[in-house]
Amino acid sequence: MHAYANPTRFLAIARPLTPWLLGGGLLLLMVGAWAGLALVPGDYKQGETARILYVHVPSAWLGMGGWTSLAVAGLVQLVWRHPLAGIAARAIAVPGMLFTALCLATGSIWGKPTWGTWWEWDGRMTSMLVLFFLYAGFIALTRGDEGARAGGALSRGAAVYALVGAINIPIINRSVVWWNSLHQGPSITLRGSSIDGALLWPLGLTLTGFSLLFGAIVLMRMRRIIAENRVTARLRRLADDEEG
Amino acid sequence: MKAKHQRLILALLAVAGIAGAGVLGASALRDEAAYFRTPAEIAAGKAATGEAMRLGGMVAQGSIERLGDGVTIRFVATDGKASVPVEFTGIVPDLFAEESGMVADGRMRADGTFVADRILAKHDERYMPPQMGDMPKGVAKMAPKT
Amino acid sequence: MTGVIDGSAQWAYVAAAYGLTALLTAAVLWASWRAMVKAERRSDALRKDRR
Repeated sequence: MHAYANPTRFLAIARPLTPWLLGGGLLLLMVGAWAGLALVPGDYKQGETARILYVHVPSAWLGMGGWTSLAVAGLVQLVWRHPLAGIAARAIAVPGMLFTALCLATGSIWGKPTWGTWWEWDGRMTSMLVLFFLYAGFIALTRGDEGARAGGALSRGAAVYALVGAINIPIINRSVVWWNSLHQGPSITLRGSSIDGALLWPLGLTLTGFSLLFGAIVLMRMRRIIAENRVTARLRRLADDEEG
Repeated sequence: MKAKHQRLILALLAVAGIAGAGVLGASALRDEAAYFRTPAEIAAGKAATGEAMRLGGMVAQGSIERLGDGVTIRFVATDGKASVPVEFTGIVPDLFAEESGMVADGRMRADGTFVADRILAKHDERYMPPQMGDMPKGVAKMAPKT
Repeated sequence: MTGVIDGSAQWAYVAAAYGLTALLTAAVLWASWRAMVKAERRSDALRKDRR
């Protein structure tokens, strides 16, 4: 792992990787959206509104996956003091919050015609809203202190916050099983899928596409932080030279 | 022991502690965080007459009837173990139908009927093309998973 | 009360969900790209200055 501790080594991989993730993600999303909107039939009950699934499920997956990675980054920073971990955590926060917001919004848009309501305080929706506020809190906590510590590391408080917040992830996941909820139970489990194959396949495309796009956004934001840190470090060195 | 290992053990203990606290908290919330009550819970006496609450269940087959005024419906909500008659005046969602899930806001009347002032349709986790929807359905999952 | 959602209004919900997703994702993508290009350009320029 320490082979990538060096930002220069990281950039040697991240720079060529960014356009590939971006291009691949956009391509898969275009094919997936076309398939989800035009190729597959509507649902036997929900009709066309079932197509919202192809953007809602990847958003939920990335919102939750984002915080999981953020918590792992927080742990890596606390234990190994890995310089890239803090940068990664900072880079994940905004896209993670974006997809959590999209999950809430598309769910609400689906809920109106299906359930007959935009919003209800059931376990799934409430815990997902909590995740949104967790992201907002993390962004507020880490905003603007990239230069305060060596190499963009998180403050200890922010790293602990990332770990503690992770408890919400299994709660979101199990909320429809533990508690009576308006949201339906999981469609896709280890035992199989209750989404028919004819409707399921575009989900694989959009899920992969959004994940690649998420990766591209995280790499871009990491590269920005590394570049800004270098500028700060050089300016400081220049100022020291002049004084000396 | 190296400082790194010390930090790792501390962090893992902290993670275990957080996870334990989360599970305990979530299970303590089990009843509080339930979005609705089931007919079985109501049959077990968990609903006081007149108390505002939500009832969730399947609409029993052949139970929907429209009263003389044209806007009031009556149906039976069931979870396979118990059932509760429901009365509602107003517009129901498109997906409200017999043998389909629903959640009603309202209160129990003294005669054992649940008087709803709002009804939501509950969707199940199955997605399939229309031609397959005509095939016999499995027993829909609505019963509480306790 | 048919048990099925039909009618043309349902496409409006689908369009709203897809449109919002495309719009917000594109906005974050664009902002991240712009900020990255700007920061890396500054960093590269400083490196050249030093030589």
